[in-house]
Amino acid sequence: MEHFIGKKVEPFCVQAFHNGEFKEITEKNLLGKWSIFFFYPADFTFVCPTELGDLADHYEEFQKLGCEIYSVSTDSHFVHKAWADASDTIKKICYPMLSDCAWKLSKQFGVLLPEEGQALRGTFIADTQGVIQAYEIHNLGIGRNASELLRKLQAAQFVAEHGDEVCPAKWQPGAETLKPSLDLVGML
Amino acid sequence: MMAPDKIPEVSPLLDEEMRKQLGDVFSKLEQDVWLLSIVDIKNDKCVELASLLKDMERLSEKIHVELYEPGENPALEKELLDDSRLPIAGIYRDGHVYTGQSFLGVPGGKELNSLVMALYNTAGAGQPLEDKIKSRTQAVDKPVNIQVFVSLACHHCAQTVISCQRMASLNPSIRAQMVDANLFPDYVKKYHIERVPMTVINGVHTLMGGKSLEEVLDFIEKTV
Repeated sequence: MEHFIGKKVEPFCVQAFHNGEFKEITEKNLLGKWSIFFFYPADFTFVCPTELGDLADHYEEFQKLGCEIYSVSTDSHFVHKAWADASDTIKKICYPMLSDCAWKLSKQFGVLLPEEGQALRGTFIADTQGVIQAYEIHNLGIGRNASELLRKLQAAQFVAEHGDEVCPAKWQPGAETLKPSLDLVGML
Repeated sequence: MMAPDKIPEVSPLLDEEMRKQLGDVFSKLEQDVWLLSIVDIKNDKCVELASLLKDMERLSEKIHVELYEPGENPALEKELLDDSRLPIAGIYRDGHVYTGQSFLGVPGGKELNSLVMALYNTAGAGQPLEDKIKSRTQAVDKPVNIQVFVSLACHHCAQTVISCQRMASLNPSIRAQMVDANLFPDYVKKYHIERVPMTVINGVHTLMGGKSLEEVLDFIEKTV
């Protein structure tokens, strides 16, 4: 099995529905900002609006962290618009909804189910150079959580800024002093 | 000085295997080195630290431990203490010349590495260092007060403490203190410490993560 960590998002060009308009999104849009690609199986399904709505509710926080969200399904941008017109949950979405009707993005990110012509629930965090730093891929019935995604983005940004030689601290007042261990190999 | 019988000289933090390892390292000490600590006998952590130091003193004739009760040695307190925080131990050379290296908290867990390396860098050959890095470290002429906030289980933390204390051992303008953040919730709050090591310089400049001496030096040269 291959993985995607450290891979740069390959060039792409897709149509998007964004704030009531249609526009083109390419890999060039990724540069200089953090990006999240949020794949879901199809418009007009039940779990999707919940997830996408959750993401819409947290969108401002993602924006404050310098991150753009791109939701992606294999539906066309016209279907995205029709869905937004029909659903209050989708109407409130302010991030670009990408159309991957040619399956190129779904294939590139390894989330395509070719027989169904749908994408698995994959979430990918790319840094300001368009390089993937974290991702998760769920089977169709397993939903995702925007707060958890926000935490992952913050962790990825922290590591990008400060390096990965840090330990999360869990303070336990009154804890006993840890037994010492020596590891001075190569230091003396 | 505090009466010796007040502090147990066998520390429960060390076992025979660890004492043997420490003895091997301490056999590399070439000069005498002093560990001075202010011990509030009512504070369990102070007693724990003092006992650890006493136990280490037994393992090498080069290591000397002096323990003082609060108020007993005002000059030492002025030099070593920050807001009267305890437990604390400082490393001294040539009798009572402060090296700028100190430990606020009990250096158990991974931090025993820091204490051992501080002794080795002060009284032994010291870790090898490029001449260029050494002279850059010695060229720092502003007061630099480094606190490295750690948790005792963190394997990146000791590396950073060792880097900073190595610098302090080379330059009297630089002070470097390990702080067991778990013992000081007010520091955790003040500096929003959620990850370690977090290095705070002169109370304002913050550096996150495990750092080599050169990385800390670069940061000081650019920032302080």
